[in-house]
Amino acid sequence: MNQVRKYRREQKLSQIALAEKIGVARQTINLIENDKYNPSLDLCLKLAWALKTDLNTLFWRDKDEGKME
Amino acid sequence: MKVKWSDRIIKWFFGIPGIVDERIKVEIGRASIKALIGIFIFELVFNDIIITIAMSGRITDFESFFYITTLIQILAILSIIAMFTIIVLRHRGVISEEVSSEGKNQAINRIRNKWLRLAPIGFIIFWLLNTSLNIENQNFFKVMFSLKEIVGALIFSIIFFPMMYFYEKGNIHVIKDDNND
Repeated sequence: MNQVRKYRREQKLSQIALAEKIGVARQTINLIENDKYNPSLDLCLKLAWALKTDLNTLFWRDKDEGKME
Repeated sequence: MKVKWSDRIIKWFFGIPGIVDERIKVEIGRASIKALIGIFIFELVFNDIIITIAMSGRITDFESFFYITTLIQILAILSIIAMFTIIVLRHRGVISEEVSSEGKNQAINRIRNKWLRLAPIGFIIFWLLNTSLNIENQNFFKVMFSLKEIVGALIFSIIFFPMMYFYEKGNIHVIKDDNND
């Protein structure tokens, strides 16, 4: 599971606010948080910048961790 | 943020209420490829059948045969597009309009006003189109102001515009601000 939801909550942002900040639909944020959509590198970077963190922190997972749906 | 022309066309064509982001383009791409394969298979099979029937010598009235096959083709293609794009995209939440519980009534009113504004324009367009199709060397205005044409356009408007209003109303999805479902 990625850390987008955790960092969004830490930044006190709603899904709508985060979606507006990076220019995507709210559902896209929801699907990313639930590991149901694989965002492009460009969108991952936008998320990392908006949540004031880095790609590794948000998306890194070990080899044996579960794959996306 | 500047919206691209291609995004505007996608938004208009598929009736997407919000932002056209990369995920929506991916969903549309997948649905469109399925629709394209569906249309290709249909055309292949349908045209084979039509050619076989036409060459069998059983058809005597080729004009009626042409109209019937064209009508079947149009209806089938529209159904395939509806099935593979509109229904799939609706199911995937691409064409649903998300509003807060406070904004629901406002959204419904906006949709109602939109279709109320479009209804008279649609009525006139249908009336003119139907008249031009039924003119048959008669006076245009005589045909246009005949009871049959007016009633036809009225029936179309009474069915089509409320149907579109209820369709768009059905696409409204109420969400909480931090919806995690």
